[in-house]
This record gives sequence, C-alpha cells and structure tokens, in this order.
Amino acid sequence: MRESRSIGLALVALGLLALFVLIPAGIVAPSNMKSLALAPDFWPNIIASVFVMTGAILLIAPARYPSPPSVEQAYSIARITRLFLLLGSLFGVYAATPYLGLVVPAMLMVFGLSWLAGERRWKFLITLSVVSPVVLVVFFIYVARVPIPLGVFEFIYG
Amino acid sequence: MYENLIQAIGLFFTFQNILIILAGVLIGAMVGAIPGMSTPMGVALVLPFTFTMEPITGILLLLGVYKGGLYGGSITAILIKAPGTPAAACTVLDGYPLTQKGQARKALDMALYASCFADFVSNLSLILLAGVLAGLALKFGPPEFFTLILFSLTIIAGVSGDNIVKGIASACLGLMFAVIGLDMVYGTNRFLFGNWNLMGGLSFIPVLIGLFALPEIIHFFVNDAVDRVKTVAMGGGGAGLADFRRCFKSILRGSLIGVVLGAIPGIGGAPSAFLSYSEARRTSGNRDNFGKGELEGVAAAEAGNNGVAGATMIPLLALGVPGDVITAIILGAFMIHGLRPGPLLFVENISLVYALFVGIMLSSLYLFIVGKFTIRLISRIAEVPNRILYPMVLLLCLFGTFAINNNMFDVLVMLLMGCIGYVMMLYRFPAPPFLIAFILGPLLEDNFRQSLILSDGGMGILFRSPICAMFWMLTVLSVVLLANSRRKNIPLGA
Repeated sequence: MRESRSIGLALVALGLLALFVLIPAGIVAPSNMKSLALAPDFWPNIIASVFVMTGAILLIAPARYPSPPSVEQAYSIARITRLFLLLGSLFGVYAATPYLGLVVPAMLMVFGLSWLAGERRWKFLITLSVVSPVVLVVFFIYVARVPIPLGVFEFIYG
Repeated sequence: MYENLIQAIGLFFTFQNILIILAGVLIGAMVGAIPGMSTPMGVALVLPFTFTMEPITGILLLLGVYKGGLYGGSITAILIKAPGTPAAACTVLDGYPLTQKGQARKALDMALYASCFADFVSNLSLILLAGVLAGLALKFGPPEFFTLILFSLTIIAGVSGDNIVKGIASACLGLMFAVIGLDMVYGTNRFLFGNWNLMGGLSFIPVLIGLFALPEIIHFFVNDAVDRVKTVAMGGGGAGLADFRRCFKSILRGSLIGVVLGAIPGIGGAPSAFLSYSEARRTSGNRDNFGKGELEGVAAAEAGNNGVAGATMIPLLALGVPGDVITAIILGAFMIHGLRPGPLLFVENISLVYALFVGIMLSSLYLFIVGKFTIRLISRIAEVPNRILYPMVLLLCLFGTFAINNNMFDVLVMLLMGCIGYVMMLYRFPAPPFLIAFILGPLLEDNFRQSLILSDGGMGILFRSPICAMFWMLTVLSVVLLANSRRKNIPLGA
C-alpha cells in the first residue's frame, strides 16, 4: 500500500509539473484562436489532468487499486554497478559515434557486455565482437544502402 | 472485384514475397523459442530491415515473424518448461508433463497441428469480416473515430498489466510523448525546447525498440541471470490423425475463442489460450488427466493462442486501430511505407489488401512446413545463452534504430526510452498502453480537433450519433468492469 501511495505521489507531481511548468513553457499558443478547445495546449492539458487524476486515485485509495510489489526490491552495490556499466557503454557508443563511427564503439560494446554477462572464451569473444558489427555494416551499407557512420573507416565510401 | 483479385495476385506472386513469408515464419519460430526474447521484440528488431522492401513484402515479413513467434513459444514450453511467449504459458501445463513421460514429439506435433488449424480459421475470419467491418466504418466521421479510439485505448489500458490505473497512466504518458512536434492545426512548436530534431515528433521505431527490447536486456544485466538452458531429447512417436480427431472439438472451440478474443483490442493470446484450455478441461472426458500430460490440453491451449493471430488484424485493417503491440508495430510498418490501414485502405488500395490475404493464408502452410521440418534446429537455438544473445540484440537495436533516418538522435531517443521502459517495468506499469497510445495519439487528437472544427468548438458533437453514444457507453462500462475485476484479482490480459 505504501508503494502505491509513493507511485501515486510521483504521478501527481509529474502531472502537476506538466500542467504548470512543461506545457506553459513548451507549447507556443497563437494569440488569434477561434476556440479555446482548438488551442495547441488544450489536448496536452487534458492528458496531464487525467495523469494527475490517476496519481490521485493511487494516492487516495491505494487499497482499492493495490499494486503488486515492484519487480526489484533489493539493490546491491554489484547490481547498481552493473546497471551503470551497461548504461555507460550504451550512452558511450552514442557519444563516441561522431568521432569513431558506429562500428568500433559497437565492437567494444559487444566485447564488454558479453564479458560482463559472463562469457570468458576469449577467442570466441573477440571473433563475435568483430564479426557481428561487420556483418551488420555490410548489410546496411551494401544491401539497405544506409550510410552507417564509419569514423576512421570512412574511406570505404570512397 | 475480379480485376482487383488479378491485380492482387500479380502484386503478391513474386519470388521475393513467397520466400519472405517463409523467412519470417522461420525467424519468428526461432525468436519465440528463445526464452527471454518476446515476439514483439522479434518483430521490432526485424522492422528496420523492411525499410528498403516493397510495402507488401515488408508487411508480409513482419506477419510471418508474428505467426512464427506465436508457435515458437510452445516449443520451449513443451521441451524445457520455459514458455517463449506469455501465451505459451498455458501449453506448459500439459506439454511439459508429456515430455517427462517421453512423449515430447507427440506434444510438439499436436501443438503444431492445433496452431496451424487455428491460424487457418483465424485467417479465414479476417478475410470474411475485415471487409464487412471496413464497409461499416466508411460511415464514421471524426467524432465516431474519436470515440472508437478512446474505447480501444481504455480496453488496452485496462487489460494490460495488473492495475487499470497504472494502465491509464501509461497510456497518458504515451499520448503526451505523441504530442511532441509541430501542432497540426496552427503549426506552432510543442515541447521542442530548442531541439529541432523533435520538429517531426519522436520516431515510432526508437520508442518501440526502447520500450520493448531494452528493459528486458537491462533487467538481465542488472540481475546477473543464469542463462544456460538445456533442451531435452524429443522422445516418443509423433501425433497421428487419430490423435487429431480426438482433439478436434477442443481445437475448433479454441480457434473460435481465439477469433472472438483476438478481434477485441487488447486481449491477446494468453487469455484466449487459458479460456480455451479451461473449456476443454470442463467438457473433456479425460478431465482428470489435464495438468498431468493430456494431449487435448496442449491442443486446446495452442488453438486458443494461435486463433488470435489473424483476428487481431481485423480491427487493424478495417478500422486502423491496432489490437495489441504486434499489430501496432505492423501499423507502424504501414505508415513507414506511406499507407494508412482503415476503411479507406479497402477503397483506395484493395489489391494490396487482397495480396495481404493471400500471403496470410500462405503463412499457415509455411507454419506447418517450418514446424514439421525445422523443429530440431529451432529447439537447439533455444540453447543460445543470453550472455551472447543480448549483446547481439543490442547491436541490432543500435544499427536498426540508426537506419530509420540515418540519425544518431534516434539512437538517443531509443536509449532514453529504454530507461523509461525499465523504470516502468520495475514499478509494473504496462508498456503496451504506452506504445499504442503513442501511435494512436495523433489520430485521436486529430479526430478530436476535427470534430471541434466541425461544431465550431461545441463538445456536443462528440455525442452526436448512436455510434458515438455506443462507444461512450462501452468505454464507461469497460472501465467499471475492469476496475471491479482487478479489485477481485480476476486475470484478464497478458
């Protein structure tokens, strides 16, 4: 019941943030509108209001709409470290692509994540990390005609 | 009509189309057979590969993956008690005990026969009903469409997950993300905050992949899951005609249950499989054997599960409203190719619809071929450990997402959506209402505002016709019923 209340509180807070900060700051409404209901911010305001209402229901009547326990209750240092390593490598690929292209960071990502997940056959790991991105690059460049950013290998495009 | 049929046959019968459905069914069966990979994840990962294909070819590939995935989930359910899809959970009840008795081959054969038959019945219902429904929907105006979409969203929000309030909150979040971009009436900015990449709104595929592929992978890495599964030998003889005849009543009943439940937005395969199974147990002479390795139980579960496949396409093709996540992805594929499912598709592009029907019927045959001849290969694929599988899936996510617009911003959107999806998964907010609301959001708002333009801002237009009134009543009724059923912990959706 406590968890339902916390979730309800979070939903109400998010909804109010949308109603009073995000919508006024993020939506430009023209001055010559025929009807208030046609205004660009009318629909988002309705959605945010319903969102606040869902949070309020969970907050006021958590016993009526009980939430089953969340998937994860206990967080260990190891789990949090693994989460940050995973997210770090994913966002790292995004950040590195403008400089190194998509292929090299993707190779490093496959290597690192397979190792993190417990793969310890080094030859297999290296082969997998190199071959799989290369196969995808070949498909996308030569079959699908998608110019994958190659960074240091950009010369392939001629 | 005959001209359209001939056109459709010309459109469909190319070497590429005939092969692509087979490839789709095979990929789907493999994806379905891997515990930890869901069918929506498989369809989402295949979607970027369809960009360069002809519309009909790309859509048929996705349909093949969908149908193969539904069947593939039963393979590991029977062999290792690990259902590849939620809907296959019911198949475990009698499939795994049969494996333990050394009759795995018989269970797999019966699952295949029931799946193919149910799939065929479902496809037939699609062909017979979609056109009729589309004809009726041609009379719909913006207020009718608004109330129809609202009703569909309410049902989907209500039956997904364990709590209707969380389902509605999830749908609201999807609607809010759909608002991002330029306003469709005045052309002013909405939630751009100076980022011009957002001008066209968020692309559908990064949102889809982020919500449905990344959270599972994040969950795996965080929890250090043990991933090695071992399949057992497929012992015993296969199921014969006599077995099929004995189970036929349950298969037919399960197929019809699948058709009815599949045509209702949001219900999906799992409730259909369980309802079909419970009806088979209730009416069977061998009811005491159910749960201990009864072949009829496998047949009923698989018929219920696969009976939804064609039927979920009825509201999609006829009304443009997807009934579940996979049909939402297929709707996205239509849109990527510049097509819009709905009643007008039957007027403007009827040859494409007929060609789809031909392909869908062929997929039932392919399902049989794939199931009969590649079952050993597919069951071996289930052994691929997640420590190899998930980095590969991430790689596909990265390249596939980039390929949509050749833009790294889409990759960023996918990663952020993955984080949102993971938080939603932790706190049990269902993702399907988010995605379907995200896809239907612009249509819902467009019909809402068109209605208001027609009525000079008067809200009364939303109640103008008996159809509108019926959908409003159904919406209210479904909210009340679903809220009550949840309070009593009655399981409804998958």
